[in-house]
Amino acid sequence: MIMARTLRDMNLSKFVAQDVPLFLSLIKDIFPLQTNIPNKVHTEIEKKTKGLMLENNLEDVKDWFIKIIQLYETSLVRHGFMVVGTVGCGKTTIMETLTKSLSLLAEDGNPLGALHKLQRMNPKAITTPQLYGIINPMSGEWVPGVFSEIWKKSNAKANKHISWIICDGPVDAIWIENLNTVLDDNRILTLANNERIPMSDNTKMVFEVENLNNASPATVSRCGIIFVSPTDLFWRPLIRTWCRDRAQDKLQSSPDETSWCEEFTEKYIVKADLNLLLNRDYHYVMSAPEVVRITQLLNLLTALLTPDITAQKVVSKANFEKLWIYCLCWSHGGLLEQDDREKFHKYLESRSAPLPPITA
Amino acid sequence: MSVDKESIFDYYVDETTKEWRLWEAEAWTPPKKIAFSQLLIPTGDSTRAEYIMKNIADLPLMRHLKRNEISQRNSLLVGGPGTAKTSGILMFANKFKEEQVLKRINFSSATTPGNF
Repeated sequence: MIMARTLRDMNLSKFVAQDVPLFLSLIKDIFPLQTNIPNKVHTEIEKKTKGLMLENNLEDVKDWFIKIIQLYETSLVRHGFMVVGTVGCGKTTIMETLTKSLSLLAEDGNPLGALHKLQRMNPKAITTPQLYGIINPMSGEWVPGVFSEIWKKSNAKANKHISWIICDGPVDAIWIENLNTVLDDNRILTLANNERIPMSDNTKMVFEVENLNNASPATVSRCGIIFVSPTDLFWRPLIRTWCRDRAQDKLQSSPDETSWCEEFTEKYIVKADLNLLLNRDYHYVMSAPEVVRITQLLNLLTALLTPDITAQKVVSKANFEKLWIYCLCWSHGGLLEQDDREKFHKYLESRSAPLPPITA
Repeated sequence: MSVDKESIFDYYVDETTKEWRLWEAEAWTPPKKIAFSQLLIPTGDSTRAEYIMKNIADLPLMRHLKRNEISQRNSLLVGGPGTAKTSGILMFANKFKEEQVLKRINFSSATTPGNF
């Protein structure tokens, strides 16, 4: 039973969303006698995290919440882990929510919590000598690097908090191979000036990456992996969070804005399966995933509604729909060629959108 | 490809009347001193691009204070060579207020930090 449970809990986080049921049934085949493998429940942490999400207007999506818990479990057993996922799938928010709720637990005096501090850096923005430090070949002088300095600070024995060093950028062999000794059981960073800095228990290495195409197996096998599928969160919560934010800040163009948003999302995006349609029949000049398109839609809508809000005018439903159509066009169709734009226009016609009177 | 045919992309929602309006080039008065090579005359196309850029750029600085999210106020112009991307930006920059500055950076293999 313990075997089955360990296998499941340690591997589940690594799979893409579609493979999770497959893996679970595999486990079932290998351990046919274990019908009911219990889940580990972190009651207090789950409660705190849920509370924090509610406070931050975040949508409670089941699959996405599981990722937070998986990250927590991984951070307990590993000192280096990678959060992998495409753009806009909520990698950063997962980390921030988890560390924040753990810090809050510590403030409440709960022994499970601990004060967390995040140190974020982009390792690909600087060269390797700038990252790890370099010895000047002329004078023999040691010039420390960004990472080595962060490392020293985070691993100081006097630290009371837990530091997460987040490398937010693509992983490739050039810089990450140097961290191999850190990520395995040696846990020592060796610098070019022969300085060896051991990793303390209060430090975790986190990599936030989009894919692992350029990572070597040596690195990947040393890390815990949490894969966040784009479908874990998807784009729907973005709209709901946006509505809730506006309701809270009292920045709505009309009291019914939230229900309109729901209605128009159903009407124009969900019912006709616009995303499927766009992926299949339309050609984008550059790739734009669903999440990005929805973000653009909301940004543009915010911008266009702002003048009315500052003037304290109430926007009527018909007008809101027009603005919505305009934003939908430019966020979903802005990257289309002329032919496809006409097709998009036809699509809107078929959804009986309030379109301008077109003479042609 | 028929360029003349109108579609929803040629229209916008008027700020005050909230009616659909066709994009038209904004009124342009020739400057007193004309340097012909530096003339930028707005077209319907450039005006509608500018409209989006302006609206996006005027978003509030923070999208959400509690979650510490920064607004995305950046625009990206995509297009083949000669489709007036640069001119569009220059026209946009012409309307800048006093405190706004346009900084153009050209990235290539020859760019070094010393260029800035």
